[in-house]
Amino acid sequence: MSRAIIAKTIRDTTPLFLLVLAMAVVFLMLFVAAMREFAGEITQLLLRFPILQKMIHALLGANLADDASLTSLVTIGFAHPLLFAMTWAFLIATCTRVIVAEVDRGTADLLLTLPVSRAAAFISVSVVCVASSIALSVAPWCGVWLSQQLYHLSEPLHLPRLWIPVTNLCPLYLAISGLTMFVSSTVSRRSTAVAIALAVLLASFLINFLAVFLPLAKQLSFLGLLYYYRPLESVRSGNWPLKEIGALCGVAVIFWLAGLWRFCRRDIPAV
Amino acid sequence: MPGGLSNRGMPAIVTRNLCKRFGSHDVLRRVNLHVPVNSRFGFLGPNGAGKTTTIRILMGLLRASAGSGRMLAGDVWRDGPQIRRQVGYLPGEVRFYDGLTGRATLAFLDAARGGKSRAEINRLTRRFDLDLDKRVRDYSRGMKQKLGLIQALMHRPQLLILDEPTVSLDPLIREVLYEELHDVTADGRTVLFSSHTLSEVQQLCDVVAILRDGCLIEQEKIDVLRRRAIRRVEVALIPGQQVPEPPARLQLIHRGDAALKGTWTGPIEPLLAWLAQSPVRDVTIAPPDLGDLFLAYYAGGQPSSAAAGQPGGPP
Repeated sequence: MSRAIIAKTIRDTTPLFLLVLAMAVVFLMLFVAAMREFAGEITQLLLRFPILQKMIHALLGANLADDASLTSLVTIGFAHPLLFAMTWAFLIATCTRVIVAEVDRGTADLLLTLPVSRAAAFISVSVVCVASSIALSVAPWCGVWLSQQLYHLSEPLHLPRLWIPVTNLCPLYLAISGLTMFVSSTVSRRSTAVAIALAVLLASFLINFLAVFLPLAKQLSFLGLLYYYRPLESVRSGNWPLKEIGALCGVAVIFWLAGLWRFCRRDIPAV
Repeated sequence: MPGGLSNRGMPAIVTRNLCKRFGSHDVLRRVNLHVPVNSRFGFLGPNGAGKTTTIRILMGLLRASAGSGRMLAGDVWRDGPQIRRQVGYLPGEVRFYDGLTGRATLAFLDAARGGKSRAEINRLTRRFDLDLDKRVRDYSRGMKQKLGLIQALMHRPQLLILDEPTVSLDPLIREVLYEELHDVTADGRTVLFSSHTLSEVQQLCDVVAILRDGCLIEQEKIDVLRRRAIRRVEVALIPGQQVPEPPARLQLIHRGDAALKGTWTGPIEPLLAWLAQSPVRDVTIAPPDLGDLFLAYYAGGQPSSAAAGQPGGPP
């Protein structure tokens, strides 16, 4: 590992990281406030429109109408597309920042001719990505906790249960980071890397969503990362989704190792 | 020597049958480079000849398709990080982090090298007259080149590899760079630089290698090349007097009653002997011009006078 590269990566990513972190916390606070206000209406809507039930089912992995407690409703926030959009954008930006962006703009010629091995450079960037992923996965829980402190809620939120989606969200983010680091190690244009990573994530999101409606999509849904993130089921049952966590960790490790292997062997083209 | 590498008695750089292929295109073909320690080594060749590719392989940015390269006694790929501790490198088109100031850029690069170069950074900044407090995005091209030179020199490397270092530099700073390069070799260190400017290669280098179409076509001490180079000769004759037949090596461009013009290659003694027997009123023999020799190599022809040289071997 190179302390200089870690320090530089932290310095480069900190402003955006703090912004996304704050936005994730605030988003969950607002989401809890909205659920507190409109819980009854939302339950009514779900009962009236089955299509809405299916859409929520696609996001959360279980039917919300079966138990529309406040904790269940708040769990939607842990799988909300807006939260995903913010955090995924940050992870993709960070994981394409050092490897492929350096190659793209030509600064890799300086960075990779320092007395630092490529493996050390890759691991240094990865350390920052892992730390960011962990912090971002805890952010929604912090938002919920702050809401509990600030708002008067009709029923108490089951905060210990809400750690379960956090521990599932973290490997999901690690898998996304690993995937992006792999893509970043393979191509030479940052725009290409971002496009590939986004395409894979959107495909994963779409296949997971369509799985509720189409049998073919259901058969293929295990290929998507979101198949392994079903927060509502585990929040309700209180069972830790160890298989899903294991699968996501496995995907993260495989992509990370593949990225490391590729990066250590690839040519760095001149700009 | 840091990193356990010792280059005692070894050339600074040696490549053996170095090849690089991009797809179906051979960019380098069996290049055998030999850069002696404590030399100023000029690396010449037309655009696309493979100079930058060779340098990028040496710096570990590209992997050789075949063959091997060693720098400071270490393998350029396997021992890369250890070797690069002792190498300063200026890329052909140097790019920096636009958002950082010059000072922050050097601080980062220095930190990654162990953080012992502050005094040298200050000295070089004064020498190259660079404002380090501006952001790199506000630097001109020449200022970026100066920053690149400072980062390459700041840790006083054993081997300095500069890809077209004088591009964008004004003549004053160019002179400063030449002095710095002389100081580097005066300390027993080694410089390899690629250049298109033949005059600066003649002025600076003691050994030259010429690459064309991915092949090393010449590698020789500059003094040896100078002996092979063309001299322009102009002779003013006393009209009406008998002129002995000129030696065959004098390639005549113009022959009149009162004047001869031509070019001469090789040892000068036969020319002087002929001039001594001739009714000469005035004579001009220009110093050997390596430019013409290099251009002949660039153009694709092996200069006839250079045929005696064995390209690819140690000079």
